[in-house]
Amino acid sequence: MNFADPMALATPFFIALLIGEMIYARLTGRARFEPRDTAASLLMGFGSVIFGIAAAFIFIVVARALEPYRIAGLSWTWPAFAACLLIDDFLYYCWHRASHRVRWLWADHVNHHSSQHYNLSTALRQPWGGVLTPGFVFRAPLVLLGFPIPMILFVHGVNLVYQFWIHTEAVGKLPRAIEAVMNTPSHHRVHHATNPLYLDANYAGMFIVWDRLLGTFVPERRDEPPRYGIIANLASFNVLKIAAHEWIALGRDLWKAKSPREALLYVFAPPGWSPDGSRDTTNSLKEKWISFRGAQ
Amino acid sequence: MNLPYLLASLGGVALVVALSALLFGVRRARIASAADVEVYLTKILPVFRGQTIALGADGRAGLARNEFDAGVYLVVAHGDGLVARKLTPALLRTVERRGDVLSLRLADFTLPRIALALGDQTVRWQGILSQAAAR
Repeated sequence: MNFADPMALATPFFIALLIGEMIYARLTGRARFEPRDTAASLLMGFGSVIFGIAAAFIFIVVARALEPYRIAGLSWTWPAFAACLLIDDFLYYCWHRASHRVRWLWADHVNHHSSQHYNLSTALRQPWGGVLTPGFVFRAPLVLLGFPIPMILFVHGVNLVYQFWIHTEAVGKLPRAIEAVMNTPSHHRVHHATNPLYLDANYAGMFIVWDRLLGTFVPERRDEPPRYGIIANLASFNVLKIAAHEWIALGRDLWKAKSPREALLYVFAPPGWSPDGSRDTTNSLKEKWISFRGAQ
Repeated sequence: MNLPYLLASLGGVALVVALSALLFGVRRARIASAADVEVYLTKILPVFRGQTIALGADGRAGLARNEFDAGVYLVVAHGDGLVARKLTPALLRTVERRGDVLSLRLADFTLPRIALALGDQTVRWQGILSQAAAR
């Protein structure tokens, strides 16, 4: 059985919703847009579709190679589909958390966080370097569990489509039952924020329960409005620079590494790690923030 | 994935960007006063106590020294907002003075160089930045 690509089907709705959000923002001031930032986000999204073909190809090759080792042969049933969606979402959580804690993965994922604005166009600001990271490793368990490869690709697309609408300031907190289970605009605003209180939180794709279970959930606070972007925000709207900046920075660090151990730590340690501790990681930023708040 | 889909996507991008420019205009942030620098750094840093702040004459950039950690920060207008960099020896490659203009070269892919006309503050800041680069 073949499924359509959910992203392709959803694209016209993405554009319609984005236009709706812009008009709403203009009328109410509840969201901010910067045309050059919007252009950069949308062109990053366009480029990611092109470069994503290669990443999808790699996944399919790996998945085909793993198929003989699967422990079951699951068929196209609703329970299998629901299980695939749920497990894929958990694996997404794992990949997403790793993408914030391992600089190799962050070099790619940082692109998605590189806007200082938070609107629906930010959802489309997607990285181009999927082929340079082992993202397929995180979805391999689904193949080994026996889910059909087209089903895995489809539910992953559904997950990404779901995440589009949560990139907005136009929607406040939703009813408690929804906020308890689902990833919502409020939860995801926290994830995109650089406030020390909010760093490294809310990695969920569709279901926020993974953050709640694994200790990474932080609720949005009225007294702490999110500031979006990254610790050292980019000074360019050039999509080539946006896509490449952290790869270039990582390359420079590797070039200057004084030992294999140092090089490995530059690649696998959290973003901001440096041999002399002169740079800030999210942990050191949080520690400074906590110690200063304690001293006040 | 096919050509009509890609072309339609590009058309959608152009439409949204045009509408965005129409609705919101292209705003350029400006650093009008030392308070702008101080407010911004206070917001983004765990701790900032402004000790010395200087502004470029064009309102596009400013420099500040943080009393708390003795760090020197560059704040630059970008789009409708600001961005900041802590000027560490690893980041700050060179500082050159021509008249009352300081030219900074940075090891930063998106902010490789910046010039600030600092008037009578230029020599003083050249010294501060040279110290920051050497530390």
